Amino acid sequence: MRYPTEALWQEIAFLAYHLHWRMDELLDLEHMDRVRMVRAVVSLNDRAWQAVREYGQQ
Amino acid sequence: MSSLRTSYEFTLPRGYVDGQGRLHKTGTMRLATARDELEPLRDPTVQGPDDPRLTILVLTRVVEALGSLDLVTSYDIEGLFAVDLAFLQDFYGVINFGSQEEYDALVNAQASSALLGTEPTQQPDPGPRPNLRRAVEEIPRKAQ
Repeated sequence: MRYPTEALWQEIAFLAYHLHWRMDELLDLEHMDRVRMVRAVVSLNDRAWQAVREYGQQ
Repeated sequence: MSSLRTSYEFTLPRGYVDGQGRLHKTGTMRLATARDELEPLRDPTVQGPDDPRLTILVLTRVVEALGSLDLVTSYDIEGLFAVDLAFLQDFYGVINFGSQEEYDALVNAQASSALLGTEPTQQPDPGPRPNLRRAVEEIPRKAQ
């Protein structure tokens, strides 16, 4: 029934690293809101790295 | 406290009978957060990550209302009939991690079994439970 504990900590650390939100705010995100935020940050990271690669090829 | 906090209404298959003999069947459960699952791990009465009491403590946090109880305590959740506890566990999984179809299937199965008007022990097997872990396993592992 419960969410895997190690995954919880990894997702919180990932969002803390990128968003610099307070711990309380990250802990109080509902499960699927937290997952959506992780996916959104992953997507932003991918776009940022893509831009870096394209810049390097110029 | 999340500004997006969401609650869902439920009806227990059998209902909780409190110390005064009153029956409590309907209630609300809010969506869970990481805090709801991590804080019970630090409860001194919990033996470890596989302690079944963790489920009781998590459900106590997210069940906001049950019948006419002023406050839902772990004593109340522990005192539920097994069929009601199993339903709440399924409900928790569906509203937090399941699809709309899984939610509809659980609610419809519960409603149709209630219409039979028989004791829970005489009800037919509702079939396999929905696979609630699917949504969890879809989490992008790039986060690691």
